[in-house]
Amino acid sequence: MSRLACRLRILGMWLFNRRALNELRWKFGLQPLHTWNESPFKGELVDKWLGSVGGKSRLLVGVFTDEDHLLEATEAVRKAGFDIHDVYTPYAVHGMDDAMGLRRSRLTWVCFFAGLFAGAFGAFMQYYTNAIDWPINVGGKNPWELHAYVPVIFEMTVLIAGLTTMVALFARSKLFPGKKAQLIVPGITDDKFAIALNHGSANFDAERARALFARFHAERVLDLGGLS
Amino acid sequence: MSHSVESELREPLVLGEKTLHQITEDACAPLERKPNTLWWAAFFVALTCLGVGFAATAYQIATGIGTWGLNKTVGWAFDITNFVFWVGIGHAGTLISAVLFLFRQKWRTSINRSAEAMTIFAVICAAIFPLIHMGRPWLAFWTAPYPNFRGPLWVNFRSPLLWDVFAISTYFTISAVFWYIGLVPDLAAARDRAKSKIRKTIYSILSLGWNGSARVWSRYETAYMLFAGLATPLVVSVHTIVSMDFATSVIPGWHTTIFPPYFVIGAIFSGFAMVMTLLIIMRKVVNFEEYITLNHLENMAKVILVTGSIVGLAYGTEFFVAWYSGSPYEGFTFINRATGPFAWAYWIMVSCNVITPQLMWFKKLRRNVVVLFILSIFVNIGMWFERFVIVVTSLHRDYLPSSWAYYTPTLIEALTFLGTFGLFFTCFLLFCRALPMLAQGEIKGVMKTGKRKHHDSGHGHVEPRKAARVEQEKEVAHV
Repeated sequence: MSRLACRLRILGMWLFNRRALNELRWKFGLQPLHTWNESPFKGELVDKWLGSVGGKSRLLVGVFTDEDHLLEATEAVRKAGFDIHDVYTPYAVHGMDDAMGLRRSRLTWVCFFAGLFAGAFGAFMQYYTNAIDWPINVGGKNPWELHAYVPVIFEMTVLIAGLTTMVALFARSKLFPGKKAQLIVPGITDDKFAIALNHGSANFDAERARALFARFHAERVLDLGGLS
Repeated sequence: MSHSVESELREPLVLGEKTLHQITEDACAPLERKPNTLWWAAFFVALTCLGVGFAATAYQIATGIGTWGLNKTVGWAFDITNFVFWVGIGHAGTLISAVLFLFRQKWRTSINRSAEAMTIFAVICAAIFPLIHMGRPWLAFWTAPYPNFRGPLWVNFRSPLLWDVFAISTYFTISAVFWYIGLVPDLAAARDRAKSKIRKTIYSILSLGWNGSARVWSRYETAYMLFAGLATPLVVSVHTIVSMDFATSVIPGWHTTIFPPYFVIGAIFSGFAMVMTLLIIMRKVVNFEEYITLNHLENMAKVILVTGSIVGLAYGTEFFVAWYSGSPYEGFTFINRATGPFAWAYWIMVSCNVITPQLMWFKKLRRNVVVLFILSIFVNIGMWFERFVIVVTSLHRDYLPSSWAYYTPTLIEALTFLGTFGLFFTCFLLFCRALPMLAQGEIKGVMKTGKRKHHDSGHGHVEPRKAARVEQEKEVAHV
């Protein structure tokens, strides 16, 4: 199936998906067609369904045991024009962002703007409560005295910027309690490294990919279907 | 592509030529085996102390804080001393996890997890004291600025005590989040090794479905850096604000501009001493001597030496300023500290904090575990007395000689303090059993084992490092 056809199929699935239909049926007092758990659209498994329909496996995975080989292999497959689905490592491999060609994370901006907002909010909160809503006369001092408000402004900035960064990290990475971990190969959190290539890309060539993996001492190469 | 190539002369961060798999095994081992007798004994003692402390706390909340040994002159003593002591202990954890991270100190990876745990538990212990001090702790939420039916009567944002509320709660929250984010990959490793179903379920929930994706690692590293950047000024702000509880008052002995840096350095000093005490025990009990090596202890000893010397300098500066300011009250307070009824406390403080750390100039002593352990206990005691001296000696002889008084803590106060030690060690021992104590994800990242040997092709530079390693292993065996 061509890439475009896949895209169209996914679009079709979203437009006419069973869950939405079931919700509509429910609204009009009709029985759902089947339970959600049986649905092929459950979770992120749209891909799995697509893989099985297309009769093709989706990922070609090279498994490595060495960080340097992994880095070189990643760089090589990227330069060869393969579409890297993802790379899996037991720890943060230094230089992987460059090897994969990832752009810089935008979490810094999230943190910066959250901090900016939080600082302004902290200042406003203190100004409103202590200078407008109920000014307290403490030794005849100015109710709006910026110096005294600096510590709380700072603490609010750090608190809210930190919490927002955490939420943004987990939300963007789709990490949440109860999510089932899908390990590409066992041992990926222990001592295995893996590169997963998308079969779907236009210039995908399994033989060439296998040769590249072998050149960089891949421990084994797997053809996996439907791991999202 | 650039790889970090370590000098062959540099002693390795982790001994014993570990493979990646061995690191996972070692880090998860304490979680997977049954606790030994030593652990149970320690846990029993800690739990007993906690129970005693709980009873004492319940009693004083039910009866009122008249159960303390305070009098009209000394209106602040044991409670605030313990509060400052525990907050200070916490600072080393953040320093190791955040500041050393920003300075790219790779040796932090073996100790940061347990130091951060220590921070969190110490802050919990600290928070108990102001809560009790409120007298009616069930009204503690009144310190939060929320619209209420009392006016709305807002909190006074110009009071350093309120700054403390914000500082401590922010510090606790951010430390806990930082700690948890660091834990996620290690919890995933524990999850993937778990045999029993319950274990697997718990670690699965906690590890949030982590699968080692490099795209996630990239964001994760950015977030980790941001947290380190946020936590570094935070840790400085927290003890600065704690010191302002005193420094913004007009009491001679408290009203000093030197307080913020003096307190922050003192906090790092005491915190590192506590980390040292804990790690020396821990590396022995859970066999982490190959991960927490003599190099780690030596590095911490150096931090203790530097901070201890700065603390000594601060003591001297205080005296100098008391004399140079020409204020008779300031001068009297300091003379009274060193020669008055609390001179014993003052000299315990000076000998523990200024004199003993100077032994750390000698490399032999810095690498002697027994000496380090004794020294760390000394510093813990000395830093507790520092806070006691600052609080009590500044109050007990005020402007009116007729109201001069002495302060002795009551049994209830002492037992409450003991109880916080119980809480601290109970939490720490449970942490040792339940969560990965070694940040294996980070240790693997700074090891050479995942990387190809860069010097295999016959450079001939292997010898010095081998020699150093053999020497170190000998030392480990010797200890």
